[in-house]
Amino acid sequence: MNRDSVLGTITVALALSLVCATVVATAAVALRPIQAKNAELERRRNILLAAGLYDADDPAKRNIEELFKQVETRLVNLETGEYVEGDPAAFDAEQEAKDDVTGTAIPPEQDIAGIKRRSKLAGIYLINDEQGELLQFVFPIKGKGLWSTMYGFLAVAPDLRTVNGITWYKQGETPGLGGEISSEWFMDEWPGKKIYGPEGFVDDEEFGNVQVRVIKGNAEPGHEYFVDGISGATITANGVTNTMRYWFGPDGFGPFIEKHAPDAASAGSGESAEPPADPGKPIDSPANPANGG
Amino acid sequence: MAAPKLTGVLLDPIFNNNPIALQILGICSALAVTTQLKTTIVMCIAVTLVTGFSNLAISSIRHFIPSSIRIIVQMTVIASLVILVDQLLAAFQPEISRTMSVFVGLIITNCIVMGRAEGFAMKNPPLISFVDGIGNGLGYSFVLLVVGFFRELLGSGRLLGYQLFEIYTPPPQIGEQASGWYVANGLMLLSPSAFILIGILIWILRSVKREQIEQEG
Repeated sequence: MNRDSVLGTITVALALSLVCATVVATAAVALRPIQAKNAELERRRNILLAAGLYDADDPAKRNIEELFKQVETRLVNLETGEYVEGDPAAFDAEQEAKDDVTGTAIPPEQDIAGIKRRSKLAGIYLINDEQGELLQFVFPIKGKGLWSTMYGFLAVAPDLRTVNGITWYKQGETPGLGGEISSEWFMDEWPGKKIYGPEGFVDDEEFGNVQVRVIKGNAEPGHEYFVDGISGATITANGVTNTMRYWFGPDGFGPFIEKHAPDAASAGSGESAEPPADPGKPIDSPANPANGG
Repeated sequence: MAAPKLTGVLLDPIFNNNPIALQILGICSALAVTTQLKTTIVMCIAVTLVTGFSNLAISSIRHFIPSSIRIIVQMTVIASLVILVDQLLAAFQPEISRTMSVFVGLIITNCIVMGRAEGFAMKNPPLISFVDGIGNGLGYSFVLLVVGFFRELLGSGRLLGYQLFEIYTPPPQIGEQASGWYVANGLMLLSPSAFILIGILIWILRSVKREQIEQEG
């Protein structure tokens, strides 16, 4: 058979595709269990990182398996805000979101995070000290950035209002621009920020009571709610802001926070002791994609 | 064309016919992964293996490849090998795999791999093609390692993650002692520094081996 004939060309192309596909598929299938284990370890590392418990440079804070023992996983019904029984190890939010029984479609007008569907339950992480006292909550969050859906964790103090830390463990934003949301300087901006404004404080309809957000340019040092923006990454920053608005609003963890916050003041009900830092200050709306990117 | 010698094929690409320094191929990844020596080493190993084995595979089937689709055939072989490397890294070196992210996949577009497949493996027997691939991978690695060495050392005062130069930190309060002495050169962590370093390297190479200087005109 002439290798340059039409038949020869097709035969070679087919045979090659078959061989290459087999090699690639075999590798992918054979290595998947190991990769899944790595992914789980990475997820745990990020939970600990958000909570400020993990530090790669400190041998005492590097053993993920060991550190994770103080973390208790609980399932929460997002709608009622109550804990529910169930096996957290078998819970997979991504899978459950796709299913019509365990997941739900988010109406477009509420879908500010751009995620379309969510699971009815959510796995949250409670970090206890050795005496069993609750130190932190870690909430899984996700939302659409410019290119990708960004997956992260937000660690919150037991008052359920103060941010302790944030991480993004899976995102495909532009390296050097939006990708900076995973950088240390950006994550270091978050601890100490307040998630909610006090009751009735709505200086921008769009944001309701969830006030923590990424603004354009620099926030005043120590500002209660505002986080420094990233130059050239307006849309990613808006995505982060909208992710916060969604997950800490009434459709996300709002009901849970309302039920479990110690001062019973939270998402849209109750009051905060402290006045807003600067209610009169006009806000350069970060939710406007026309700002460029 | 005279039959190429094994040792010459293996060693020539390092100094005499370096794919980056002389042929200016494969620059893209040389910029991207050289901020740390560790990722640089992994990248070098990956590229060397991919070049070697793609040359071997393509050379073994070179008599069956129809000339009309030869580039596609080469691409398919290279792409499969790169995916294999990517999957292996993700399984056994997850941390490095994360830092290198897309750049492992981008080995597919590394001109050196394709260039050797088309330029050498299509015309030569498998064994010598394999050696040629490894040799070119080593030539690439040599440049990358030099660049990675200086970028990590000058950019963050470390080598392979070990702090060699103590980074200068200003005194926390007036009157207190400042610690460290080395002010890290942030430019070294940005891509342009790789251009500068490769430029200097080519300059040194061509000052020593004057026959590499291209004729003007």
